[in-house]
Amino acid sequence: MTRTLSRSIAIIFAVAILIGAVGCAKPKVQLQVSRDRIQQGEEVRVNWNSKDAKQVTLNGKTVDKTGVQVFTPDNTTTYTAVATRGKKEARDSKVVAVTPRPASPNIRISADQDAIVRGQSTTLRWSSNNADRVTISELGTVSTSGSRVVSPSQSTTYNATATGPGGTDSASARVTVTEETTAEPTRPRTNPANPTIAALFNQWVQAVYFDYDKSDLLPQSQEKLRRAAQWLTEAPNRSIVFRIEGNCDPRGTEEYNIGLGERRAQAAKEFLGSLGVEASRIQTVSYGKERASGTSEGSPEARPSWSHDRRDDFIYVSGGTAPR
Amino acid sequence: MKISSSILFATILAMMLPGVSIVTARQETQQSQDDIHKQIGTIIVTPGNGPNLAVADFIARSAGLEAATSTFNQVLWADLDFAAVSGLVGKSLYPKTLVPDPASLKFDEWSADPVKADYVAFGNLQNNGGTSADTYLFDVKTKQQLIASRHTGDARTIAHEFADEIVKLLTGRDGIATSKIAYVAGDSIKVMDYDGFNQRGFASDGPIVRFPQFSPDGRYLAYVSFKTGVPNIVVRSGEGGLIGGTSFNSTTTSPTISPSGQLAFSSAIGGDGSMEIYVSNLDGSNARRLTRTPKGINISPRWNPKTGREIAFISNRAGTPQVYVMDSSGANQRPLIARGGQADSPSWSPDGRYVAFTWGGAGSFQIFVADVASGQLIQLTSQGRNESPTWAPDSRHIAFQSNRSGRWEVWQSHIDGSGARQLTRSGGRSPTWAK
Repeated sequence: MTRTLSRSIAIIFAVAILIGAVGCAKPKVQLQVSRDRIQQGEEVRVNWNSKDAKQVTLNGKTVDKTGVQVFTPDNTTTYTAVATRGKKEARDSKVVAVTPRPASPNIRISADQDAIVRGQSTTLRWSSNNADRVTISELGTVSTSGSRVVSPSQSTTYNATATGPGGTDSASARVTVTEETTAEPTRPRTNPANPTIAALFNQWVQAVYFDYDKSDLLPQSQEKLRRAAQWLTEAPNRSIVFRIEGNCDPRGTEEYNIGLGERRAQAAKEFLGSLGVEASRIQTVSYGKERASGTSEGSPEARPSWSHDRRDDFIYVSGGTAPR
Repeated sequence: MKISSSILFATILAMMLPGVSIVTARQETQQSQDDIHKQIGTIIVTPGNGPNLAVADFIARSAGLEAATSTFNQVLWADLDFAAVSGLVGKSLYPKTLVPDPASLKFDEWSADPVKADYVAFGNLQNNGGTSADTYLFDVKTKQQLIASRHTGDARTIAHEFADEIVKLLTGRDGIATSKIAYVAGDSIKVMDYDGFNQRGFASDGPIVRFPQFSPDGRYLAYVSFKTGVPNIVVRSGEGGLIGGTSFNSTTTSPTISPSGQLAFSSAIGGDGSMEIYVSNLDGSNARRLTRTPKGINISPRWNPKTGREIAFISNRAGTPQVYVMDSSGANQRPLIARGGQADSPSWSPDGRYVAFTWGGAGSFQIFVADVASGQLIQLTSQGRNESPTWAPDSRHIAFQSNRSGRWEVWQSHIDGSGARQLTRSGGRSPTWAK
């Protein structure tokens, strides 16, 4: 009886001592970073391990007691792991110094006429930022901003690539070459009242194209409009008012195409609106298939260019401040 | 062995079943097409299934009227041939005796073989200050005089008037020989006689003018002009005087006028990024929205010219553009013809029984006529591309644009598609036909 009691007491003591010993242990934590000096955009791996911790946080967020996380910090960042157990805590920190990345280059290119008759010429114009080298297919290496008269013998897409310390960017302009002298001339897109800002507008805000009987913006059109919106929302350009003209190819019916052209103009307006270009700056109008290739009386004589016909044109109307 | 043969039997049965149902469906389609063909067949009279009409050459009774008389005879014949209210007996079968007046008419010559006419039309042209025609129509079986009238004017006009007089007498309904068609020629709107003659300018107020539509009574002509840079509606009187229209900042198109003189059109003014149908006064005031389909296209509204209570229109609310109809209040919007493909430019017959429309797919469109009550269709055209139908005031003829000659021109035909003839020769689109 006594023996049994003393054995029980001994067990209780042993357990209490064990609990007390562990319960009193101070938690420990260690944090390491893969690199303490990186360039913006590069990754850093942070790993940590702890002992005797009830909870571990990394920069305030609860994490596993031992773990790894990868970060891409934009600025110099201190990573701190804190291990706690009751009122006891331990911490460890490492600083990762981030040097800013060189700005990304960007480039725009456009042709004064996007459709010419064979033998005629048009002027390609391009401008870039943050680039120290620009190449254009067919032309080779060119100055970082400039223009060149071209007279392609067949329809040509000019791909321009800008390269700089911050990476590369590319853009393209297509010049469609037609055989017929009867081809509908492309209307001049510049407004003589303010030629400089209008020319810039034409470089940054370019036509977008659609699928047959569709007014959904294709991914490449959204990309074009994002670039356009970026420029249109820059301070000197925020007063620019412009018109979106919706067009259709000649295969649909005339009356419905007025509606379809309007929808195409509205689709671009809505998308630009979602990117901060106010609706009050945008007029829309539909020309249906009035400007489609082929003559207005339905003759099949002119070579059709249906994919070119299904487009929104962007026309500078007023406003903006030309750069000095 | 036994199992495999029963599987084989089941497979054959399964293969046959869809075949059986397809055959049934085809028979039904054939059946319903027969119905509408029969229905329209009774509207257009072909030789042998209606009364026989003989039209004797008119005689010039004054010197110098030979050319006018020749024109008169050609026009009268063409009018009555296209009217298709009777079988026309060929002139080679006629008696040699000239019939300038009732005294010269020998009934037996016209009722007997080979002419076998029920009616005979005849008369003469004289010069008494202007050109006039004494015109007669006799029932040769009962020897009754049905028409004895005088028409004065140019040869074409008086021939048209006499043709309409005959049609009215034989059918009890107005003819179309004195009706007019407006249409788009290049960048202006022109008006011509129903047979393509006397083409004359009506309006050219804008760099682009499109989609003319007469009111049911022919008193007004509404169309779309781009004169402000944005398409808007212009309404003029039949004589050309400016009545009103719209002046919105958003694309506004496809006018149609109700029997009571209300305007309907399609516009983007609602700001939902959509084209919606509106009704307003003729001067554009009191615009009221009827459709509501965000990001949709509702276009080409056409008022029912008979009742004024319904508007047919085109909507892509379910995908591709189809023919819809609604009450003119906007209530009860429902598909009228929704069989896929792309439809456009519906047009009610003046009697409200049929809707003609353009139907097809990219680059290939034809004219179809639907019986509104049954939804049955017939195809009117098959040569080239054919679009934008409009009904003659008699609900028995139709005009449309066709590129079968190599470019868009205005054509017309009977409502079964027969008798097609070309009206314009230097370009024409979007015809609209008025009394």
